[in-house]
Amino acid sequence: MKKTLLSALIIAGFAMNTNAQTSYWTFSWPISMGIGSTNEYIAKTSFRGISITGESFLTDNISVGGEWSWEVFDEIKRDLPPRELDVDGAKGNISGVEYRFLNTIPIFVNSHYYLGENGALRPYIGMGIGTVYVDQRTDIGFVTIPSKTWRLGVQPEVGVFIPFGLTGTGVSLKAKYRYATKASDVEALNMFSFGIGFGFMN
Amino acid sequence: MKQLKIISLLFILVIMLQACYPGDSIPIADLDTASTFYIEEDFNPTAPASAAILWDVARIISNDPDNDLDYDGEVDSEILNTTLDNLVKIYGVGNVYIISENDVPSPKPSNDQVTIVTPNDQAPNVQSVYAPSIKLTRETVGVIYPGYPWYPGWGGGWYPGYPGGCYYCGYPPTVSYQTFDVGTIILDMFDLRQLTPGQIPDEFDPSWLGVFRGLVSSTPSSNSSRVVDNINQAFNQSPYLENK
Repeated sequence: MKKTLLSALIIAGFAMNTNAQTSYWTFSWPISMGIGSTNEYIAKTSFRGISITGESFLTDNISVGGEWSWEVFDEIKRDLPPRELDVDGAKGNISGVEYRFLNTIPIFVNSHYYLGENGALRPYIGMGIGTVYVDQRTDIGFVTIPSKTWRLGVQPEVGVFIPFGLTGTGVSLKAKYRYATKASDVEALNMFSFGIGFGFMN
Repeated sequence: MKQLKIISLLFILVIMLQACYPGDSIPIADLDTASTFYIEEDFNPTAPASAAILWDVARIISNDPDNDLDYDGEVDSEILNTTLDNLVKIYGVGNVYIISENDVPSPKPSNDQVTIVTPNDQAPNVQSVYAPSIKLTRETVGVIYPGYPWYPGWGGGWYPGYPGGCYYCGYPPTVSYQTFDVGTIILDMFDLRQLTPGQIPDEFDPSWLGVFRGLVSSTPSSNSSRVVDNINQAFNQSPYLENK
């Protein structure tokens, strides 16, 4: 966790210390849902999370920066078919209620292309790339099946900044798709995330 | 601007609520598990065609007797009769035997058509024996709550009374101990077809093992119904037991 926060601070520092004319910060609440194998693991939509981005404008339309987010998924699965076991050559099965948890923490560098002008509506499109820390845990009774992995991730994104007049403060809306590669014992991560929050554009 | 950023960050943090593993209240039955293990080659090409059940639930004493709970046979009837019902379903009533110390087994068998065999009777010609046992222990689990790092002060004017000082400083980690009463029921099935002449019984491994684990409830009816459900589930997830 300290490692991820330190990485986020470094990325934010990059966004603050470049010699760009303007910067853009967002603090958002992400609503996320898994798709594909991620949805098979946890189908329930996540309403827990936080997303912080910091960018510097290289030109009036192009920015570079970084993102640190944290999304929390959880679901209780009942009436599942028994899981197969293989312990020291003896085969078997285990049945029980499964408490499933998934924490995703991406640390991305990104770049966006903005339309519009300062002081007006500014929609954008962009892409992020970086690493995603995935903490997945399945509890079956007293048995815990954990998995903690760092994966390579990519994240295309669209969004819009809606300023409150000329204050530079406004509402940030964004939609992103995130993919993180498969790890040794768990499937690839596929998810959509919709964020709403505050934006600060200078 | 700075204050607005702080407000928005706090707002988002509040929405985010707590940490990575939400949900602390778990129904006791959600912690029940039914695990089964089997040696595949012992069921090839066929499973045993008949079974006997030892009509007694053995008590397993742990390595730490101070943490063993009292047990006076409160769920013996559920263990033995649920197993008996499943054996009759798998092998047929004519191929199941109850091995009892006397002609009137206690607890009373749920099926009075099953043959009862006592030490005075000739040993039945069965291919497998089911032996139930139970272990009840009090287990102590330590839960470590992490400390909170130092949070610097927000600066004068924001939090009156905390002018640049430390708002949330150095909360050390704490450890909370919780005890749980855990019940484990074990059902061993010994395939007598695998027994070689002269083999020492201690070296004879079960061909099938059912392990049912859960918290002991203060409500007896809850314990009884969960024992029945988990034993039934163990047999449901073991279709290879049936001789086809």
